[in-house]
Order: sequence, then C-alpha cells, then structure tokens
Amino acid sequence: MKRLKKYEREIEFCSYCPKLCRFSCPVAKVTCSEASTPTGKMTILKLIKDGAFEFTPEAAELMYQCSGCLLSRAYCEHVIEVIGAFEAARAIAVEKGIAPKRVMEFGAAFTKAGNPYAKNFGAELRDLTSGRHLQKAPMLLFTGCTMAHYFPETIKHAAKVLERLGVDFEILAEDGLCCGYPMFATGHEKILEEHKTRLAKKLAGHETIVSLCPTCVWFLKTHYQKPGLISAGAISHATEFLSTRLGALKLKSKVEGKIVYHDPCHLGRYLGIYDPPREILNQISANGFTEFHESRERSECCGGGGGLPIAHPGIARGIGMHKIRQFQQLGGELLATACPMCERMLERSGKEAGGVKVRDLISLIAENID
Amino acid sequence: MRGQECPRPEDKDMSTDNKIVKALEWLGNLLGKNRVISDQASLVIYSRDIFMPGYLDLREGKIQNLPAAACFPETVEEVAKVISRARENRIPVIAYGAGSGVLGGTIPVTGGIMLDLKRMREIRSVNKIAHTVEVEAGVMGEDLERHLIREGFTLGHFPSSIYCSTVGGWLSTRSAGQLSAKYGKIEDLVISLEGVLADGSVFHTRNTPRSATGPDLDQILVGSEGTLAIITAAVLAISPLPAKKIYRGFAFNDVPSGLEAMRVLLQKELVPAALRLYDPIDTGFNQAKLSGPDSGCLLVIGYEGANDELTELKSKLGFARLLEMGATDLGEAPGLKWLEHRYAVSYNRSKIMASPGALLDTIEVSVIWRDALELYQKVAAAVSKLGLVMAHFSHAWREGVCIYFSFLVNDPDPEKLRQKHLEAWKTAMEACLEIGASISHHHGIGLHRAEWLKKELGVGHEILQKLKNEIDPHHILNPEKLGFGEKA
Amino acid sequence: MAHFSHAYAQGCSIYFSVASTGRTLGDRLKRYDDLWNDALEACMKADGALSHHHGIGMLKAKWMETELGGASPLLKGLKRAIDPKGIMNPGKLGI
Ligand SMILES: Cc1cc2nc3c(=O)[nH]c(=O)nc-3n(C[C@H](O)[C@H](O)[C@H](O)COP(=O)(O)OP(=O)(O)OC[C@H]3O[C@@H](n4cnc5c(N)ncnc54)[C@H](O)[C@@H]3O)c2cc1C
Ligand code: SF4
Ligand code: SF4
Repeated sequence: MKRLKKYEREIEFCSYCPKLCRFSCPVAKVTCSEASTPTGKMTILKLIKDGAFEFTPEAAELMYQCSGCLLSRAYCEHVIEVIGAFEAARAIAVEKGIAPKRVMEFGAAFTKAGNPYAKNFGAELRDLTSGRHLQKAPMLLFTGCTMAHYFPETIKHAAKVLERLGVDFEILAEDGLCCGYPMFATGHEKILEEHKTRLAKKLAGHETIVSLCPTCVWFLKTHYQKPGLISAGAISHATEFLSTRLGALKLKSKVEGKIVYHDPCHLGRYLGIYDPPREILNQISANGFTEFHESRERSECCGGGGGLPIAHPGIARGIGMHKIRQFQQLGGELLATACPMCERMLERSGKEAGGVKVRDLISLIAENID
Repeated sequence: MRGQECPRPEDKDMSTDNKIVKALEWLGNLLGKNRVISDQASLVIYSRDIFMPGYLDLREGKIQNLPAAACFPETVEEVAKVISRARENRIPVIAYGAGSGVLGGTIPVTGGIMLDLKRMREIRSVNKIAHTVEVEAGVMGEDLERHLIREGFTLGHFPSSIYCSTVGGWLSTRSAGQLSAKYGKIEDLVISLEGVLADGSVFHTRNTPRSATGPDLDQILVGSEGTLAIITAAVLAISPLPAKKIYRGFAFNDVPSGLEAMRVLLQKELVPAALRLYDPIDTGFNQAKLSGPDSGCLLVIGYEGANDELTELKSKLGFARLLEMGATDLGEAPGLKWLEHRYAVSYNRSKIMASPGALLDTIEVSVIWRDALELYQKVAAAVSKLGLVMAHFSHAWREGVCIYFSFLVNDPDPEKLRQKHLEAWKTAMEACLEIGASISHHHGIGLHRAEWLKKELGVGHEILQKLKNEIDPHHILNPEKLGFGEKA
Repeated sequence: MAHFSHAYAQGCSIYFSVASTGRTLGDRLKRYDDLWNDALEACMKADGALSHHHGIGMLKAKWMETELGGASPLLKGLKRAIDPKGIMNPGKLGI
C-alpha cells in the first residue's frame, strides 16, 4: 500500500469530490455504473488505502476500469490525473495475484516474445522493408508493436515518406518491438523492468527516435529518457517530425471527402501535440477537415488506452462505438488519426456500425506522393 | 388495506437474505445479468451520495447502507416490470440519477434495489417548432446542453452540478440553474412526463403547454424525489441559443442595499438571466477569482437573449438602474469571470474535506423580500458561532430570493464535528420555520430535512403522506425520504 | 369558427365557437352531444389537452382517463387520500 502514498492527494481529492468530472468519463458513459466514475473508483481506492475495505478481486476489476484517457483532467480545476493511482493499484493487484484473469494471462503472453502479440516482428519487418534501413543511423524509426501487428502497410508508407524526404534512418527490426507500456498499464511491474533493460540496450546510440505510435513516444520519454535509461536527445512522433517537412514533398493528389480527425489521447493530452496533425491534414486534404464535436484537450477517447481492451474488452468496444456514432452523426467519410491503437479500435467499432474508413495520417501522405 | 389492489408477496416470511438472493435472480431474468450489479465494491459506491454525513463516514472508514443490487433498465416497460416485481416481493426500489443530491435522497437506508436510470439516456427529439426537447431521465445535464447547443438551442438550466447530475434527478428535486431569473427552475420548464407510478402503471402526461384538466400531476411528481413514481422521460421547454451575452459586476456597500436593487430590477421588468449578490465574506472569498470589490458586496449580473437589440436595451436600463441605486460599476471583468468559472466553486469541497477535522456544507432557503434580510442576519449570526459562514443570494424572483449559505466548521473530534454540522443546520432550518420562509429553495428534502419538512408543510405533509400510502402502501419507492414515515 | 386566444412559446389555446340547430329538441341535443364527442375525440387524437382554461366539470369527465395518459391512479389516490368518503363535489373531474 506504500505505493499508493505517492497518490495521496489525488485519492483524497477525488474521493471527496462531488463527482465534478463524472459526465466526461468514457468508461462511466459505457457502464453507466456509479462505481466506474473517477470519484467511484478513487473512493474504493481510498477505503482500501485506509484499511476500511479489503482489496478484493472485485475491487481490482474496478481499478482496471480506466483507459487513462485523461479526459477527466480537462474538467478538473485541480488538474488531477487519476490514472497514476490506478496504475499503482494495478501493480499491487498483480503482485497479490488478484488482478483480473485476463490481465494475469496477458503478462504471461507478453513474456513469450516481448510484446503483447506474442509475435516475432524482427523477420517480418526486415521483409517488409526489403532489408533496407537496417544499417546504424543516428535516427531510429521505432514503429511500435501495435503498428507492426495491425498495420504493417503504414510502416511501408512511413519508410516511403522518409525516403522521399531524403532522411537517413534505421528501422528497429527486433523481436521485442514494444515500448513496454502494455505491461506498465496493466500493472506487470516485474515484467516491465526486465523488458525495459533489454529494450534500452537496443535503443542505445541513437540521437533521435521517431515513432509512429504516440504511446511509444510518451512512454519512451517518461520511462526511458527521463530516468536516463537511454541517451536519445529527441523523441518525437511522426506527425511532429513531418508537419514541418511536408512542404518539401510534392503532392500528386489530395485527400478527398469529408475527413474528421480524432485526437489520440496519448498524442494530445499526454504529449500536447494537437497542431502538427492538423497542419498535415490542412496540407494534404482537398477541402480541409472537420473537428469532432469535442476535440483537442476535450477530445473523447477511442477506448484503446490503459490496458482497457485487455481487462475490459466490452467497455473498450463500447467507447469506440460512441466515437463512431459521433463520426457518423457528423456525416464523416474518412476518419483520420495518428495512432495505431486508435486506428485499430475505431476500425473495429466502425465495422460493427456498418463500416467506417479509418486511416493513419502517414498513410494518407504516402498515398498522395509519387 | 385500502386503495390499489396489491398482489400478495410470494412468501411472507422471506428472510432478508433470501429476498436479496431472489431479487438478484429475478432482476437478472428481467434485465439480463450484465445489467445487474451486486459486487460489494460497487455497492459501497451506491451507499452514499453527496450528503455530508456520508463524507464523514468515508473519512472515518465507516461503510453502511449497502443496497442489495444496482440495476440498469433501458425502457419504461423494464422499469415498470422491476417496480411490479419489487412490489410483489416487498423490496424497496431507490431511483438513482447521478447521486449528486446533497440531502441523502438516494441513500438506501432500508436496503433494496438501486434503480440507476443512466441507461435511459436517449435525447429522443428536439421539436424546433414547439421549442421542446424530449429527453430520457438518465441523460447527464452537460450532455443534454451540448446536444441542444448544436441544434441552436439551450435548456437554460445550469445547476453547478451540471457535470454530475441527470435530468431525472433535476426533476425529482426541483433543481435550479444559475440563470433561473430568465429561464426559471426545472419545474417551470417541464411540459410533460413519462414514467412509472408506484403501482407499476406506466404514464405519459399530456404534451401541452398549459391546461385546466384537474390538478397539475406533473407538479406533484416534480420534486417527489422518487417516492411516488419513477420518471423515465420528460418533455422540457427550450429556448433559442442566446446570441448576445452582456455580463457585468457591481459593488454595493452592504447586503440591504444590494438586495433592494435586486428586487427593484425584477419588479421593474428589467429581469436579467444571472443575478447574484455575495455578502461581504463571500465577496472576500471570491475577490481574487472574480475581480470583486475590496469591501462591500459583489453583485454579478448578466443579460442574455436571442434578440440583440432587446438584450442591449435591457442591460442598459438595468445597469443604469443599479447605478441610480448606489451601485459602483466594476466593469465587465467580474461578470465574465463568473461566467467562465461558474462551476468552479464546488471544487473547493475536496480541498476542505481532505483536511482532517474540517467540513464544508451549504444550505439554501427561500424567502420573500420582506423577510430576506432578517433571515439572512439571523442564520449568519447563529451559525457564525459554530464556524465560518458566508452567503450569496443566488436566485431571485419578483416575490423573493434564495439565500445560499456556505459554512465551514472544524473539530478534531469526529463526533463533535457531526454535532456542529447538525447544529448549524438546525439553526438555519428553525429560523426559516419561525420566519415563515421555505426550508429549501432547490436542493430538496431527502433524508436530512424530513422532520423540518413536516413542520413546514403541516397538514400539507399529512396529505402527502396519505397520497403516498394510497399509491405505495408498502413504501416500495425510496422509503423514509421526504419524511414519509408510517406505512398504510 | 375559432380564435387562437392564448399563445405560448410551445403552443396555443384554440377557442372554438359553435352554433347549430335541429328540428326537434331531441335532434338538437343529439347534435350537441355529437359535436362535443367529435371535437374532444379529435383533440385527444391530436395530443391536445381537453381544456385550456374552462376546466372539466361533468361535461368532459369521461375523457379524463385518456387525458391523464395513465396517471389517473395518482389523481384518484389523491382524492381517496383527502376525501375517502367522496363528499367533495362528487362526480366531477372524472374521479
Ligand atoms: C457540486 C454540486 C453542485 C450543485 N449545484 C446545484 C445547483 O446549482 N442547483 C440545484 O438545484 N442543485 C444543485 N446540486 C444538487 C443536485 O445536483 C441536484 O439535486 C440534482 O438535481 C440531483 O440530480 P442527480 O441526477 O444527481 O440525482 P440523484 O442525487 O441521483 O437523486 C436525487 C433524488 O431524486 C431521485 N431521483 C433521481 N432520478 C430520479 C428519477 N428518474 N425518477 C424519480 N426519482 C429520481 C432520487 O431517488 C433522489 O431522491 C448540486 C450538487 C452538487 C454536488
Ligand atoms: S479528477 Fe478532479 S473533478 Fe474528477 S473526481 Fe478527481 S478531483 Fe473531482
Ligand atoms: S482517465 Fe479517462 S477513463 Fe480514466 S477515469 Fe478519467 S475520464 Fe475515465
């Protein structure tokens, strides 16, 4: 329980709070249960912290009912981020063996290949790029495992765009191609520590890291760069890297149709990157793009963060559906985003809702250059 | 047994545990297992709302009043089925919006089933001709307002709890929004209701603006706090989105001159949207945040409307009138800052409650102009003996005003802190009764005000009690609330 | 003929004036009853309220069940609660 001490302020403030951010919480919107609200979850945690309520598997289930989207922060005068306390609680739950079964199994699956998909990405990525970009270069393209698993095409697209820009870069084509965030988010501290040591070695010697995944960027910054595990000076997301360089490319065509842009939580609220993707969209679209009803700091989540799809897949899907409904109400034709997890979640929910075209900005760029 | 036919319970001697097990079973059958929750952790959350003693329990690690289950119906028919079965089985049903009520209205003091309405969350239609919205009870306030804004309308209902309360909760407590002077309270916005009476019958009252068809049943149900019926949907009046907003701050030397000015504006056809007067302590408390005056009383006033010319003219005349009555113009800043931070004040509660031995609570009352000052002074003087007390006059009408007291009391001894809290309430409530004011302007009764309500209503409460016994003889719906004691 | 005599943001009152005749008293009374029946049936079908400001009395009592849209137990319960013997103006308001 000592781990919770660090979050004393958050736990106290939220559990005494008259639920002021409650309407915004995407998880509570789906479950409709009062226990799923930020105040509800924090109240349970407070009672556990104070020794008034036992940390039961049922309570642990609740600790996993948070996508870490930080949307509640946007409606909190205290600017509280609740997820830290839940992450600490999850680590305790895993240690005690009371975390949801799916979460415990997820940890075991991760250790097989050093990523959540139990896949050996090394060979696949080498094939994908026909063996190019494997030589040491100061700049590393860190694709992230989710991109490699679900959207290998986008990696090809990224390579194409960087090649056209004349950027010299290396692709990390290794098996354990995961930043470790999934283990962090689900409370598998031990597995994470070992994984970090291994990955840090592979990342050594690069000045710049560019990633296609906002989660990787945030996690590499906060859990590798900040504590000094790696020496890279700049870690950035592809949209950040490309938005200022795009002018050097010649577009052969522009993206048509009504485009709506979804701010990934890890790109927006975590990294504060709101404008670069919009600048890219403005440059590559024929008729500009549309904002969701709620965007930027108030953008609603896709359901994919915080290990939610692992611990509570039904809730995660429900959140995705909510977003898709909004997209359809806006009359959108193309849902653009800049995160493989968002793309995956939205695509899946979109399928349930009759099919929605979801694309990563990188692919949209690549498809419109020679 | 008089009145409605009531089915016999299946098993008269059913023990409580047995009842719960059975309830979980039939609820699961009616709604599906995934729409019934009964894990202890979740039920702990349903055992409290925003009623202060619940916070003190939390601080002391006390857990009590757990319901048997919480369930989530999605249609009025499902609600009716749950009510009917609960009635057969003599098991209480407590309507639950978002649990932002401050008087313990949702606390399951006798156990039972929490009927959480948040899955009834469809905004069914916006009628742009009639200026109405048909909305289900479980829709969260902010979600509704955002939807209406996109359609070019506003409900004009802005309780500070708009982020954490539902339409059904508003209707059931007779809530007030910050712009009540212009848009009225929720009871002024209701056109018709859909729901389920305590006997399980479904009703849809008529969707007409006014009528002379017997007593207004909507108005009996509005404010009934889940004791007579479950409200599942409502048609509410909406207004065009205001195009122009003109907000400003003024300073008055003292409370009497500020109150006088409020009264005159309202009675001279210069009704604004927002009109709030802060007493000197509340003014001091808000000085930095709202750029208020260094001393005296801050008055925040705002005119808004869909007609620019009219809004401008009204504000010009209104502001001029205030100056005539001795106000000092503080410019736009306090008005605009108030508008920007209008929901911010409630966040203070966390800060204070997180410091051991302290508590912050609020009491709102309603009083005619003639008696407003006397009531204010009496309560402020008495409560200030217990701790820090301040007030603002947050809603005003042609006839009178709402006084909203906030008080902060301290005591290292948890028991004594509870006593002080109760003492402050007692003082305020008794002062109201003595002066002939109303003990609540918009928060309602719940558990806490039950005894005082009986005194306020007198024979009126006896009538309500009889009505309750007629339509809910076994007190299935939200027992013990609104002072409903003895069963039929 | 009609005039729209009271109006609100949400809707209005329709005030019909009717004149009719018939050969015999019986005809006239029948016509009168038919007229009310037809008018109020139409009103109920169109989701109007039975009365804007004249009330119910005895004339409109038989439509009250429909008018109240299922909420009549509440009105009846109220009546029983305060007038269990039904001594106050019996037969009015349809209760
Ligand atoms: C920070 C804060 C600020 C507030 N500011 C205001 C304010 O400005 N103005 C104001 O008026 N109030 C205010 N309140 C009080 C509270 O928000 C209101 O009473 C609100 O109407 C309650 O809504 P709810 O959905 O949370 O209802 P709940 O608390 O869930 O329920 C309230 C009562 O209504 C009953 N109920 C709920 N839904 C239904 C239904 N569908 N059918 C039948 N009964 C039902 C419950 O059983 C209970 O008795 C504030 C509260 C907080 C915490
Ligand atoms: S995050 Fe802020 S607003 Fe939300 S519950 Fe915590 S203190 Fe309240
Ligand atoms: S971070 Fe997102 S999912 Fe988690 S409690 Fe806040 S709003 Fe809900």
